[in-house]
Amino acid sequence: MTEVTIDKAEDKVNEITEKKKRPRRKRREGTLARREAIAGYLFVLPWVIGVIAFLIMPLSNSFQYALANIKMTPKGRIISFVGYQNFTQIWFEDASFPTTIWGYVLNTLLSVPVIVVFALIIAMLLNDKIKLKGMFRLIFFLPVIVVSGPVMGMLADQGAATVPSMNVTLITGLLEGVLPGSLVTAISSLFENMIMILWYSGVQILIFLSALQKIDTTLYEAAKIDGGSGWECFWKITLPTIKPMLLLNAVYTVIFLSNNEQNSIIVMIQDAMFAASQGYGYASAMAWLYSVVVTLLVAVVAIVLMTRKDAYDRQVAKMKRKHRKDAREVRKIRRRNRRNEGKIASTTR
Amino acid sequence: MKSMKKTLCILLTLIMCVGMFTSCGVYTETNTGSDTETTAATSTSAPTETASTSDSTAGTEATAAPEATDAATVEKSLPPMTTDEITLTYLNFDQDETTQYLAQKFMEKYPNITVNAQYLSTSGYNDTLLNMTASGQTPDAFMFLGNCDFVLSNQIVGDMTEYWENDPENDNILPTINECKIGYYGTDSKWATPIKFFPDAVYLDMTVFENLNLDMPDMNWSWSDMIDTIKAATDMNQSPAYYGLACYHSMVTYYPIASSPNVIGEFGWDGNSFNMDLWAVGLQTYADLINANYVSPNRDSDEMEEWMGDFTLWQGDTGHVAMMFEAFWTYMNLWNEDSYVVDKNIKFVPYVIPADYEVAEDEVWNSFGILDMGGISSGTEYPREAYELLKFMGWGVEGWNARLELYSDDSIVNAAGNPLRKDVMPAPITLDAGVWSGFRQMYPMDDERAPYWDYYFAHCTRPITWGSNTIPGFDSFIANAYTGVEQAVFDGASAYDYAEELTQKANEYNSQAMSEIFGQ
Amino acid sequence: MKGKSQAQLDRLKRYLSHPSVNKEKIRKFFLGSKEKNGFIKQLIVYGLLICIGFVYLYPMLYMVSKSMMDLDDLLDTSISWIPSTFNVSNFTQAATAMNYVKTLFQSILVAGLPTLLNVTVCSVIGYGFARFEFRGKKIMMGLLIFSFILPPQITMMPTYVMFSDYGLVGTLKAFLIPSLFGQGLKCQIFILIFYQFFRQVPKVLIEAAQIDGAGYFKSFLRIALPSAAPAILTVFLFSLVWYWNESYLTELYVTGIANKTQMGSLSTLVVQLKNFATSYSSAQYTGGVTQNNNESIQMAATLLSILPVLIMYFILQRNFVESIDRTGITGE
Repeated sequence: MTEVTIDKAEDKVNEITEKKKRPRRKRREGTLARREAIAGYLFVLPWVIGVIAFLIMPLSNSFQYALANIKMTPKGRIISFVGYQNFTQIWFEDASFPTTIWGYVLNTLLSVPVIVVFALIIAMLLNDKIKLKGMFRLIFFLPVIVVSGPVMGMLADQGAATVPSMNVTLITGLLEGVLPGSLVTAISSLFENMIMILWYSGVQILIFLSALQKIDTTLYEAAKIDGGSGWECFWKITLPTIKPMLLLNAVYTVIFLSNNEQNSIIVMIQDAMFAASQGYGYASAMAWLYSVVVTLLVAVVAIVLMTRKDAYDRQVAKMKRKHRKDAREVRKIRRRNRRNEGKIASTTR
Repeated sequence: MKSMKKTLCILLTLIMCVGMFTSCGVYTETNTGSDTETTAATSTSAPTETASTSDSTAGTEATAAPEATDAATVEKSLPPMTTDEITLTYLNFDQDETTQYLAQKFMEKYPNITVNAQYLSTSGYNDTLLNMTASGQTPDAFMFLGNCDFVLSNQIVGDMTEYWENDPENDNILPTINECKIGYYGTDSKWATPIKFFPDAVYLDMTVFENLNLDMPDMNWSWSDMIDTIKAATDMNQSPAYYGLACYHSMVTYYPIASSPNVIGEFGWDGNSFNMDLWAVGLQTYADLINANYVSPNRDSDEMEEWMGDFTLWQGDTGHVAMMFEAFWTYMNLWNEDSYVVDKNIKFVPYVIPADYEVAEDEVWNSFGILDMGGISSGTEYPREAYELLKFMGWGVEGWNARLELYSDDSIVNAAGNPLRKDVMPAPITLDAGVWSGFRQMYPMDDERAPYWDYYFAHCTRPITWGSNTIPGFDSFIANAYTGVEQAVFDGASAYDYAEELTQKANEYNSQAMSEIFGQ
Repeated sequence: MKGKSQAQLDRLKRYLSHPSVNKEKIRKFFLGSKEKNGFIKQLIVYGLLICIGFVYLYPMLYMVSKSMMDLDDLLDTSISWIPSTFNVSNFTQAATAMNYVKTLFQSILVAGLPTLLNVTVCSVIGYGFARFEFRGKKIMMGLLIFSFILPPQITMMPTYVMFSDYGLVGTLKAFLIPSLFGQGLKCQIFILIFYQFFRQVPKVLIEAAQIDGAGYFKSFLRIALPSAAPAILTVFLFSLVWYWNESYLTELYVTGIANKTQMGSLSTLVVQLKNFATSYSSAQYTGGVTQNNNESIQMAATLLSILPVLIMYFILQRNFVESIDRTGITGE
């Protein structure tokens, strides 16, 4: 186990020293770097073509629609451009959109920690020394197979997905006295959807579990010899190690919750698509605004979970900054020299 | 046999009424047109009327429909169908086996036409229709799911006025379709028309009334009779308790239509504007009933667990609910089974949704019913043939005769192995006596229940349907301005306080949609 | 495992041979020590696992139980879980209605081919991102994630119009061609999985191969790919399951609405499954009718439609869980 950490440390050191050497190496291996870049382009070429053909084109179409009023008649599309009118209408005239967006943001910010923490707890339980580990895992990953299909819909129709003994009204009643209204509805909807949350956290559990299994058990043993409790071990060893997964899971959860068919904004977009006074253009504009909001949300989550770096990272970043500064300096000096040379040349001529 | 005769008589009277109504309708409608048209219309009305009157006096069913049609064809007729080899596509959310069979029948009748009948389930149905339109593959004829806005604003539905108004068969259909101009959307053109009809019923459980020592109410009941019955049939002292009412469709929808013959749409729509005061009466009545404990708990609730000891039980399975506002198909899908009638002794019989105004003894009043709409594509090359196909699939007599063959044959089953009549069977839109008598055969004929069914089928024929299907902007109004209102009233707010604001908003959404669609 | 239980047995024997159990030992037994979890903690752990496991298993159990009931059992309120007779007629009926064997092969085709393409193409792309440095890489990665964030409503209709313009709708090509260019169903995740994985493969290994004269592609094929077996398995399984369970897109693109009844159009089990739900069971219409007297057959059909993936999952699950441990979704 200590080997691992030493390895890591070495890697980081190597990285740092490599960076130091880089300016010199770069000059020497210019052709290689270029060749590598070309190879890289070749490898990702299919994706680039795919993005241009299957993503950029529909996206630009859809952006065009967002700026227009469209009628999809059997004889062809009738497009009349209205500029930013759709966007302004959504924000300033359509009262329900901003409020729904607000509700969605609140709901997501509440659900994400719950889902992620829940998934972490389950993953840790599954990672413990327990009997019938194989069987439990089999069951806990079942949702990954089943949940994306029509099965859930069928089962929900039959009422098989509700928990009989959960008294949400009681919880809501208790909370109403303490918290503001919008928060209460968000929390009670969280409880109402508990089963769905349970069902949808299969992928997250999987990701956490795989991260947990990578932690060397000897680390815990060493900590215990030094007198650390399980609680301390969790905060000092487990959490720091799985931090990248925390981020990945949080982002995955945000995206999953946002693009879910039951999401109230997705429903709104769907409604707008079929409404006479709104139509497809309006719905496109809504979807664009929405994806901006989701992107911001993902960014917020990423920033919250990424800020705290460990000592090594900080050092690496510091070195990087220093190198960049050095390189800039060098370039500056060189440029000045060249200019001076030029000046000298011109004056001599 | 006796009951059948009775039904026939009622039906024939109905046909006569219809003949009168429609002919009058045509008369007043064309009055504004040119002189020649007016004379044509008057001459049409005369033969129809005389034909049906003479039939009803003769009392023979066989001659009734054909003669009436023959007489009408002289004046009204459709252009001939093409003889070219063509292919027509029909997109629907009807029942797959049924439409495939109908398509086959249609192709037998018109060998030069190939019909491609596409069934799609309701989830994502409108998305697919819009996608197909956007990519230039609009089906020639199609049903659309609820929301009339998008088919109108995207001009997917084509104008079928020419065919509709010249088709003699259309004089003999559910009278409200022509009287209330369903599918005209406030214009002079027919854009869409009902394809499937599910009259709504108030189902009463005879066993419950027996157990509570109550008399069954009069079939020609009034709105207040219904409310009184609900209250009388609630008995909290029994264990488990008896509840007077369980709802699938809501009083909010029922009441405005029941309140006045002038209301021709949901929420008090009179053809020009909404009247949410009527809506408020319906909602408040319902909320009061709930709060006074006359309405049974819903399935999947703790209250249900407390009441019947089974969290997931459905009210219709309890045998302790006297009255249910249920969908038409629930009876044939479930309650008609021996497992209910014999084993559980749950014996539901239908009542027509009552009216809250004075109705004559033989009068048929407007009541709520589901009408699923369809139309022909505005881009089809063969509108005449598409119209014929749509009629065959929807309201045409021939199509319905083919449907009856399917429904009466228990060996023809759907994917799940059920006879087709148990898979959400609709009621006929045509008033053809032969069709109706065939249809009536599938419902209980025993002495105990037959009178209820006879009366019900004779009085359910004036449907007024969802606002979503018939009023532009209605769906937008519901999605944007209506959310949470009902819940607020159940929680204690007064429905009347909302009425004025909602009336204004609903009208606004409608006029906005109208101007967007038709530029008015 | 065996050794451990032996040790426990020994300890138990010791307890039995020393009747004077002291307080310390009892405390240890219930609350545990630093080396060993106590009884109470274990109770909580197993309690939680069993409760949540039950929630996960409940719908499956419900499905299996209901699918074997006949009509009498369904309506009999005293029978809630175990059917009175073991009834397989529901399954045979559902299988005939779905045209099971033929549809099964079509499902394998519809889900399998794009999956194979996904694995191949995404591994190449993931390798490209992980192994090479080139200008615009960060922007590309950003675009990759952004395309994952986009709500599907933005591109749904333009994509459909484009596909039908290209003549792809109604054939399997509608799934295959996007997959070929790394744009298949949820391909973004697969590319990220491969990306994370290949970043872990030591550069030295690959560079060594290159010094030996292997080209970039050769070193990818010979060195990187074989070591990526766990990632390949993961992507394969996820991709197969997601394609298998996708009904709306399959119906729209592959089956093709406009020529559905024509001969030779492909269908899948999950698409066939829709036939079992009554046509009026969408949200707008649900009422009493959801209570259906063909619930058993519906459940049997549902079970049949996911049975192939379930079997595959049961067989592969050991490898699957282990492979996940080694794949890059875990970052690092």
